Amino acid sequence: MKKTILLSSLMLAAATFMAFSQLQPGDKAPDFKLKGIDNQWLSLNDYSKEKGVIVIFTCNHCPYAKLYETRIIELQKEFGPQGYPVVAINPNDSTMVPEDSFSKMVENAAAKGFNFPYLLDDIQLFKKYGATRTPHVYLLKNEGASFSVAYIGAIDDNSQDPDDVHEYYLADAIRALQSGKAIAKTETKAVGCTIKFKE
Amino acid sequence: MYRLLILVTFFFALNAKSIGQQISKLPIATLQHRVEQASDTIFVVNFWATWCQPCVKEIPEFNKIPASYAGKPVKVIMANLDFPNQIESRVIPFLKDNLVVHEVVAAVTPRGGEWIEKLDPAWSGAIPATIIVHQGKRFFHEGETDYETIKEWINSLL
Repeated sequence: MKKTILLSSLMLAAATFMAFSQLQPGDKAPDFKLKGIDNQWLSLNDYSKEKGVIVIFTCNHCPYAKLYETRIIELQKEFGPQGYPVVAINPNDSTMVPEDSFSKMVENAAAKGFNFPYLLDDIQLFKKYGATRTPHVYLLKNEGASFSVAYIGAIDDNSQDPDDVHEYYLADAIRALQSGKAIAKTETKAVGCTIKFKE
Repeated sequence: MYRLLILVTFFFALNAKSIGQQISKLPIATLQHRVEQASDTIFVVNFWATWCQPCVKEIPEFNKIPASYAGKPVKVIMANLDFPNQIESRVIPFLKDNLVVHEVVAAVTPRGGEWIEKLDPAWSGAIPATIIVHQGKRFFHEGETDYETIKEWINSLL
């Protein structure tokens, strides 16, 4: 009995530790090759001429993800031409959330007018990044041979109301990179939906 | 006479129901202080929202938690994270249609996400999330759970 308790405590500790093991700002960004809603494969290497990439783990069904769709379109409009394009990645398993299937991604992107690639993560890339929720942002900086993680977290400090934002965490981080200054907040947290996947 | 009895019963039933629907607003720091102070009580706090599918799914599991466990009092707090201006329009109607046995509080959270880190560094902000506190020991989990697992977590703190 004691052994069982010890074993389950160890397993719990391991599970907690795994939940911890996130990329940290400064870490090298894991490469990926995923299929987008246009049926084209896209990899991080395809962005080698850009200054950086805004990787956003997001999805169709999550209300918090929905609240940010328009703001993500605006981010692409503003920062895409400046060398920081948006890449959206849906990490959810559609056998668990039918609304997040590939065909629904195509529909949602068309309905909302997504102006950025929307990729399906069917290889659990999100685990390599340590993404745990939607939306979950990783701002990557081009270091020449690879990309490093410059910022992890939320887009801004008000999920519900885009007109009442005090701090634009992501935009501020990009502007800091552009002006060669240190990013004031390299990590932020926000309420969101868990990523739905099978072990 | 019967009619009166039915009427009275109806009145009390109605009244009881409306009492059950009231939820108090509680600043997240106050909630944290309440569960972290020295006490015999085992505190189980579940963060949930009406829009969160896995949260709604696991509510019946939290309903199973008894008022005492291994001879110690258990206090379960269902901390709701719907937006403050959606309590009336979403949370109250939800509680009318769904059984939530334990106390529901509307967690009032400050702007930004620093409170998430403060509550538990292991929490990324995704819900559901559950924290169990007992006499200085704590357990945290992000994601869905069930009653059997919750019991294991409580046992690990006893």
